[in-house]
Amino acid sequence: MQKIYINSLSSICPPKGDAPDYKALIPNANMRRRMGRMLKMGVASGLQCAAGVEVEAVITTTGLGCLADTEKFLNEMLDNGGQMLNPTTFIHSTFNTLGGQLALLLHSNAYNMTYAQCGHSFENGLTDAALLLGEGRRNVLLGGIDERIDSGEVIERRLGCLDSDAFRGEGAQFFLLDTAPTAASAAAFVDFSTFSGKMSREEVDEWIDRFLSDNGVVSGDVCLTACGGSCKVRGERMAFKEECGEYPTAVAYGLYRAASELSEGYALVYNCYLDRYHSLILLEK
Amino acid sequence: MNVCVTGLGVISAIGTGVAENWESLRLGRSGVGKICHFPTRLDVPAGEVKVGNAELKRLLKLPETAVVSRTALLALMAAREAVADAGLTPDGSVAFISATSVGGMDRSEVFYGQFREDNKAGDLADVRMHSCAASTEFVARHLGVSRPPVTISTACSSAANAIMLGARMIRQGLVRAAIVGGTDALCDFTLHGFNSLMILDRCLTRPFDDTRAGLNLGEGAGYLVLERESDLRHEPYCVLSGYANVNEAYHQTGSSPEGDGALMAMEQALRMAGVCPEDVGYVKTHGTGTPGNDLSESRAMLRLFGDRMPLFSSVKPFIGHTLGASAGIESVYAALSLARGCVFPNLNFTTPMAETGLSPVTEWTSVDGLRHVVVNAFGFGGNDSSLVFSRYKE
Repeated sequence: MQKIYINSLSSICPPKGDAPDYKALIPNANMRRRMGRMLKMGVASGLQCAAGVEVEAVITTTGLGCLADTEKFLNEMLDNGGQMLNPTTFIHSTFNTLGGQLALLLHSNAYNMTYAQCGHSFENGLTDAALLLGEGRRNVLLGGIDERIDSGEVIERRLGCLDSDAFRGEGAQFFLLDTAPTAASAAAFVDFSTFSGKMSREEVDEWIDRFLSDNGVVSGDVCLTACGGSCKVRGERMAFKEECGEYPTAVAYGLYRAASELSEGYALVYNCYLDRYHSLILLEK
Repeated sequence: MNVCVTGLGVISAIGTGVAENWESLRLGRSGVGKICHFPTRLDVPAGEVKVGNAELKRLLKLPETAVVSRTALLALMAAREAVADAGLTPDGSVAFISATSVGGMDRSEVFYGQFREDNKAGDLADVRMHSCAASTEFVARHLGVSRPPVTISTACSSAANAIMLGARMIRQGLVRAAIVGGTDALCDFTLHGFNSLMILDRCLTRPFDDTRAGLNLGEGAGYLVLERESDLRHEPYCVLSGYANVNEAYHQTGSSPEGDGALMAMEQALRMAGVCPEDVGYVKTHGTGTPGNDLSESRAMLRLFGDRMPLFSSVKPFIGHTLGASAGIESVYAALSLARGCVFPNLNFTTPMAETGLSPVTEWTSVDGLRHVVVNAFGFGGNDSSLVFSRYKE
């Protein structure tokens, strides 16, 4: 694939105590007041990332969408028997609501897309971003967003979707991608790959070996491994889920951390969600 | 590179499979009526698929006891038909791209009613398929598509975006073929949602009519198989020659009265297809029957086509607004329109709207030499997408 540069990146990671100044980022008080936490997070992170640039595509990705608004609307429906429900809550429960808000606030008529493929949502978006750049678009804004709600975590634990030692996280990371670098470029994508299904630890390591050799990279050139699952570590180990927690689009946080930290050579991001959504990203400084 | 439509599959309120849908369209037989499959306090008509979950499971040869969201059952019915129709063997070089707006909410809302009383209650089987990805993965597994699947959720334009993505992946050589479309099941959550927006018509929906007062919801699934021209094994239905996805950036739910977004989407899709507006023979409109959409879409068509307005109609009076599935189901119809040279009637229309004076096709009409059909799908969040299908080999 052609090289894709990360020319701007932003992150809101509430488990780390990130609490941006929403008033400054979303000055429209009315709009801000109506937004749930996930929307606020996503809008703020997206606007920060795209500041000063005319984007030619907006891609938002989320595993489960605005859970708080979805739950609120369900409760209103069950409580009120369908009378006098708040349409804003329903609107905000739709998966592309963040993409729509970003288009409004960026005054952008550009391509606008939303992926909701559970633990591969962000990877779906990355595939699309690469296609768009291959078609000649510039400045593609790509984000991964999910929120944590109490009842959601209870259900995930009952389903066995969260390891007992894992904490349920959330966050909003955005990346401005282009085929040309700027002075501010954080890193470039060399390649990425996804696999759906179960893999043993050995199979994961073999997969990574093959991925690296397909890209002509030897293990010694990898200075940093951002692990969102267990794999053989090359270079420095960064266990990013200890910071952001476990959630469907946590890989976006892993990518953010790896791209921010990488000072030379290559970084590898390996993510695994629910033991069957695997992905690999190879970055280069 | 030509991306050809080689297989079609559909299930909707007017039938299970392409043949039944075709027959209902030809006879002008609507599937919109009273909701029977689940309890709801809302007394509104909707386009329910007449087949219940137990029967769908039987048709799909699934165990009776399997708890599967209706969204996934509908999807597998249509996707399986499309793959068989194309004679495609799914493998690692085939993409499955599916759209849905509601995912497995039909089961989750049942679960949540019990869960909120006691967080240890509720059958977990009912919530296992909550995410939008669950129906996609269910279908991918049953079709034998090994490549990680893709789920798109851009409200009412979702399936158009799935179709577009499939074509783009084929053009850039990522896959040799793609199974693309969308699925959505009716559920109380969606009904109440659209009710809260006050855009549900208590009577039958009347797209483009002066007295139109909202939409009727519907459910179903529609998938197309897209393949490279070089891989054709038989004559395709048509070619997907153009597509565009734009955002109107006007309002979170409403469309601009002048139809700016709709115009942009149609113009860009036609430009990509290399088709002049006067060569468009039929527009299968989004035509939801809401005052806002139909005015906006009509004005966009007037701005694009001027006094050379092609035939146009909305098929939503037949099947309801099937949301994430709509552009999947309706693109199946558009492909049939091109392959068989006909356009579908816009039921329930009597009076042109005062602002535009436009009248859709109201009778089943055979058209000789139909060359290009535009399919529109517009949605919440300002998402506007248009597709252009063209006759194979002019």
